[in-house]
Amino acid sequence: MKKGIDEMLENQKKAFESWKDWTDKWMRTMPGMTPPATGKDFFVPWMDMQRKWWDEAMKAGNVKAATEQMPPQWKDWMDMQTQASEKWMEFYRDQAKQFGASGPGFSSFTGTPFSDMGAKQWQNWMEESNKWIKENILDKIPNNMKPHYQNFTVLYDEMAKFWEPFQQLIQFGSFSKSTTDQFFSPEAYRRIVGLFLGFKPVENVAKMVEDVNTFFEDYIISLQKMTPGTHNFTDSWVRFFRDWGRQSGHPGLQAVAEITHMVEKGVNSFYHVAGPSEELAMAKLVKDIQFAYTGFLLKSSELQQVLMDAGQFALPDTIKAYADEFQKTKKLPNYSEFFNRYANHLEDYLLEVLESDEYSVLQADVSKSGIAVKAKMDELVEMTFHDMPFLMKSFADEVARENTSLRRKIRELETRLYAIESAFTGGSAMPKEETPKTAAPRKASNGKKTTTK
Amino acid sequence: MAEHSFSDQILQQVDTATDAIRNISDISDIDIATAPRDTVWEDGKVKLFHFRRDDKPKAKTPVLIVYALVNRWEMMDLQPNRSFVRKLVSEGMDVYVIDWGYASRLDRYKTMEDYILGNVGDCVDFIRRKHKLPSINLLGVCQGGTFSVIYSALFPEKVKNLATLVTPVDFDNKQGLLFKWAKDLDVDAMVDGFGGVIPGEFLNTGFDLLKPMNKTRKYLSLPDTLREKDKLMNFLRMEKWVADSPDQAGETYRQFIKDFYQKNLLIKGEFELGGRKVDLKKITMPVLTIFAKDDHIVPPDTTKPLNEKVGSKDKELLEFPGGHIGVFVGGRSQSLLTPAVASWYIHRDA
Repeated sequence: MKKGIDEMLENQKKAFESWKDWTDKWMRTMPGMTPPATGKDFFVPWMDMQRKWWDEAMKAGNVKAATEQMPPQWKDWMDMQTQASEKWMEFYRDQAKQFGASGPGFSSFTGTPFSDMGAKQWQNWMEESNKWIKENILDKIPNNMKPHYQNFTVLYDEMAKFWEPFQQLIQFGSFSKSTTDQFFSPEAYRRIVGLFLGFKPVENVAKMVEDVNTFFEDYIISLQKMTPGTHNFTDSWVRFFRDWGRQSGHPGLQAVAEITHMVEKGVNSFYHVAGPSEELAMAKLVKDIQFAYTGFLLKSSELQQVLMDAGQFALPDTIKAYADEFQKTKKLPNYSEFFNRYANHLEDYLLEVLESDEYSVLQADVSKSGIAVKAKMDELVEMTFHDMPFLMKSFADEVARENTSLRRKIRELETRLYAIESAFTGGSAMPKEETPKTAAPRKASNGKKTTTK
Repeated sequence: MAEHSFSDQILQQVDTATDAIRNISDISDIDIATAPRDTVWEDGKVKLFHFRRDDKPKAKTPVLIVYALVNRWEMMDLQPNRSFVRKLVSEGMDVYVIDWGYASRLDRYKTMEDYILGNVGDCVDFIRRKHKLPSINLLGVCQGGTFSVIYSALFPEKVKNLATLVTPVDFDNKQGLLFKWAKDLDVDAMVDGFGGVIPGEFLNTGFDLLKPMNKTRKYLSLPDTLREKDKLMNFLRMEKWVADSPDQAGETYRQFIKDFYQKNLLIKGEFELGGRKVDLKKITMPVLTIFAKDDHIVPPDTTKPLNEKVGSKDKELLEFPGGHIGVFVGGRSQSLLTPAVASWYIHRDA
């Protein structure tokens, strides 16, 4: 196999050198022109790189293992070499055309017909490689860090979609917010910032509230099917929320929050007149969850809005910074630099908000309301399965309380014992050698102490 | 020139990809905390590790490291060449560390009293007994430092020397966002709502928000990280450590937030544990207070007041030029800080 790739490389090199000789000769015929060094500079390290790649593949021990460990596109690698060379051929041919000459096609050197492949194949290869790297990095990082990493890769790629217009804005020195908004819409901005901060932005609060209500209405209907006795109640509830849903399209979050609160109070009075039963208690809990969840979403939306508002000038600032530099250097940053600078600008703006008293209070409210939903959900689950043979949270709670209490009693007894011993030894007693909860070093099967290395 | 840039970029990408693939393919295990050790004591989930050494220690008094309940002590031994523990051992100290284990719902009623008077006290007594010493050295880290300070104030006769690393004692602070946010936190709602155990993930979310773009920057530098095996392993080990965030026993969390972050009782001399008032003036043994200059998690102003409040005559403030995590794993930690800490103990070992 190694012989195979060596032959391939050798042939490619020959073809490339023939082509370069031809370029040199041709260039010399053009008065005042110096052959660009790009071809040679590109090709020599390119060859080394290919060998390196191959060697690494072989380190795996055999071709099968190499194929398994290396990206799947490695099989296409040899084709890619030729295609990359072809790209360079095209470049030189384009240069030649500028001087009125026409260079031969790549097939003149290899005898192989080529189609119009250009940089696309190269790009594909790079993308495939990146994909492989991403996936394999993902395999190595802990499970609970994976969503963060995946989120970042989505964010990076999403932002890249705007890179071309951003470059134009830098070149043209257009950095006002109204201009950047034309290329980077508020919706796109919300999505990107949401990815940066790891939350899903709420697009339309009124619709969100409506969706939540619909969900709970459906839920309560299904509950009614399971517990026919609640028929009247569920009908009333569904009607009630449909009416409320029609009114809830108010623009301000505060207004929606107030309406939610009013309706909650109204529904509570309805429950007060209803008789106690398990189904009704569960339905009441579902109602509580509905309000708690709506409250959480509203608070959460408010928090998001505050952060979104804070960061909206980060992009114009970033473009302005690069536009100023471009005026002096005529050099554009690469995408990665731009992305990093944007993130830094965005962080500066966000920190201004994060450090404010208002944000601190709002964040505490969001946390509290989110936890309230979770706690009520736990309660509902426990209520639903209360007659099942599961150890419920409330029982486990008793065990935990008992466990802690016993440990304290043991400690108290130990302390008292130590005090008595001290009294006998004139206060010089060392802590007791063996105590009920102090285990001797565990013995491993080989009779040695438990060891971690 | 543009063509040059393009080809350079392409070559760079190929090079990076090749190195990255090689480095990733080479990785089998991501191991942390590999310094050889024995488990010498345990009580439920809590364990006491004793680190092995080949020769006699320079200091006859061993040191007990009390780490925070937040995250895991493994940060002190992240990798062989970045290990606070290994360095302490190689500098001549006999080292113990408490492993708190992973709190679960069964631990929801475990309080600071249980942790400090119970677990820390038991470990101190075990080591005193084993070494036949009336007192031992304590090294408290972050929240574990606060625990160590409290213990030292209550049992000064059992602590020979006390060093604290990035340890908060004065919680009235405007610089640190955690200190600000905690004041508005409805901790009762949180502890009760979470069912008595605060998830580690919840805490991590808070830490992430302190520098909202840190994760982005970390992943953005991945192409460079991937090119070097050592850097890649550092990255993966750190990811492993950050991800390993134990849940918190609810009652301890409730008390810590209320009494310290919200009421700042410790520095005021009003904090009580087990029915006893914790008076920092009772700390009379030598004290070394280490703070990190650029610490955004525990800002210097929250740690430095310890030096003024203790009753010790032999006391010292030591500034570390770096951040909270750099104290344990940075290059300067290995070359400067840890040797200085070991030397401080050894000089007071007589």
